[in-house]
Amino acid sequence: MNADLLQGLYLALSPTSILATALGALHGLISGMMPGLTTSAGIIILFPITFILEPTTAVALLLGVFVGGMTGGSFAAILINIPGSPSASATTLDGFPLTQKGEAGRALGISIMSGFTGGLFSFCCLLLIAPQLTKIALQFQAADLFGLVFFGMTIISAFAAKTLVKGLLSTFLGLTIITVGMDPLVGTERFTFGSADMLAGIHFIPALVGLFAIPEIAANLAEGNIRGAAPRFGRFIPSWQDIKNIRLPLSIGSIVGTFIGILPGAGGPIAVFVSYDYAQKTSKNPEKFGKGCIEGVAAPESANSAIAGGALVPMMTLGIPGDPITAILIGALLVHGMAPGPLLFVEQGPFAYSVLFSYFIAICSMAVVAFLGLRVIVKLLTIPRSLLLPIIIALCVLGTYALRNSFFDIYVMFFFGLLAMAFKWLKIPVVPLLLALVLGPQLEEHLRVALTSSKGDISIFYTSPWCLFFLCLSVVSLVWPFLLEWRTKSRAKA
Amino acid sequence: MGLRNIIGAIAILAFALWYGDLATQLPKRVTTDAPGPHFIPYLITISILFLAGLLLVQGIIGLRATSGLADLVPQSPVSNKSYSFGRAAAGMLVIALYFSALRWFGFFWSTPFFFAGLMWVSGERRPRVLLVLAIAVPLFLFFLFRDLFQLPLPKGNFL
Repeated sequence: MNADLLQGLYLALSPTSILATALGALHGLISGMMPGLTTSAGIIILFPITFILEPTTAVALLLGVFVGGMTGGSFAAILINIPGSPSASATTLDGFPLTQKGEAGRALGISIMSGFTGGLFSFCCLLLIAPQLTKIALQFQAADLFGLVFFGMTIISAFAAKTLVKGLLSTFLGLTIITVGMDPLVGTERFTFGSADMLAGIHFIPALVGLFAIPEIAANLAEGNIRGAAPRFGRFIPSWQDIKNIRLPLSIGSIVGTFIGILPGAGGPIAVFVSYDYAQKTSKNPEKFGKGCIEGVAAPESANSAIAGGALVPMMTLGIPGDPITAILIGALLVHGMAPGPLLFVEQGPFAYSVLFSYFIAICSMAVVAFLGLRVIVKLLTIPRSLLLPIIIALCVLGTYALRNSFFDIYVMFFFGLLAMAFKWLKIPVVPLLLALVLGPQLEEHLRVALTSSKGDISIFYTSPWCLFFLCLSVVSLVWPFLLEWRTKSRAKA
Repeated sequence: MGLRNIIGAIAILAFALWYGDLATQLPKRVTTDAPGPHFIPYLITISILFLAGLLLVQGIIGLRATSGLADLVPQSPVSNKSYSFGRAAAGMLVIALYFSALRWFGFFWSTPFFFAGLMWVSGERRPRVLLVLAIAVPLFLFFLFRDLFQLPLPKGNFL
């Protein structure tokens, strides 16, 4: 057996890592559940703490939040009909009707169990696929890596926005930001305006904190001091009959969630609605869907959880984040000097495998913490927003400042918050911009290195098979939305 | 959506022109055959100009197709009667003031005032609750991060 794999398992099983994962899962469940908080915000809040932790423990903590947040989002969907995350949207369809019938505990129990099963399946896929994909990715040259990063950015631009133009604009505006500071290859100053702070470039952590936290705060302020109500629920351990009934929806959700999760940018909402749709079509009683049936909770919930494992595949093996949360995780890894990608498995093998096993522990921790602490966690819904909002801002300040001991980063955070609000008004998605911040430096470096090595000959991009493959995929991802729209219109006419 | 697209496109076009102008001042080539520091900014400028132009066209077409101003009225994402943009603006102002105050007064002295301000804007009106939480929570965070986590906290220039 691979020595790195065993060492990774050993690292992930250390008491500090397990404790961090469990605490992360608890924090994630709460962040995902609280109206006005999201999993992204939950991860951002914990950022300052990760600076003092060992990389393995820090990642274990954040993975706990990631996994916990996915299930926590569904708690809010089931209990108060407000999905804590977009990927928990489908859970409201049957989860909330179950609460209205007085079966909230049953729905929550099914949700936790489905989350555990979906996560477990996606972990198995992650463990099987990641090392194989890494072996392929290790063969990539600069031009291939450029093609790969370019594909990652185009697919997210295409999927994140309703119109492709806005998605691409968001990406290119993000790329303008990465050009601030020292040129990565020759060290020339670019767009620094003589400022020493700008010379070091715009760090993407303050940017992402601003992009995700500030608009949420503004939206919550506009909504007022809402205090949720903790509903009563009975037994939440699923019965044997319930487990038998949800076997098929669980399998569907796990498979669909994992494989849609692997596609960068495809996103959770697609996976959960596709699995809900399949579960309904394969059910013996499809008419029960939407009226409060447990199969309608199990399918989207297992998909919702499986997405996390799927999204970790491109993140860990190719360094391409599949969604905003994995982009934030990449940020956390970079802060600790670990760049996700194929080389991570070669240079930091035990650490890379520890991330995979920490994901497994995060799934288990989430299930244990959720079942044991469900009654207490749900009571936190009653915390007023008026107290939560200043705490979130204070934690964002602490995290941002601790990064480089710089007030400049706090102002950068605020600037990006305002930018995200402007984007929201213009209906321009922020996710492509975030990805441009994370992947932009690599894109520029690989492009320029490839052109330098070919002495300016652009044929390097179509003579390399892998690069050509990724560029073709990029074209497909850009054309795909138009094809879909054309097909929908043709069907509507017919 | 048309008017928003036009406003957005004009703002982005103006930004791209400014960015492109700055990019022309960058060194062209440092070594032979290697693209210089200007290379990526040039590509970005051209792409943004093209895309913002498309957005402008989309906006004009969209504006002609609809009555135009209707989509400027923001739609409330929740069915909550207390939805208020004034409160959001006031909150953002409090946050901006807090970020400015941090440089001068540091985390310890400015955070309690920020907590009280933002809690008040969020709708908390009970004086005792405001006072107790605005002092206790920042103090807890201060000692937690300074002493337990040993992270650097913003220190004010005045202190």
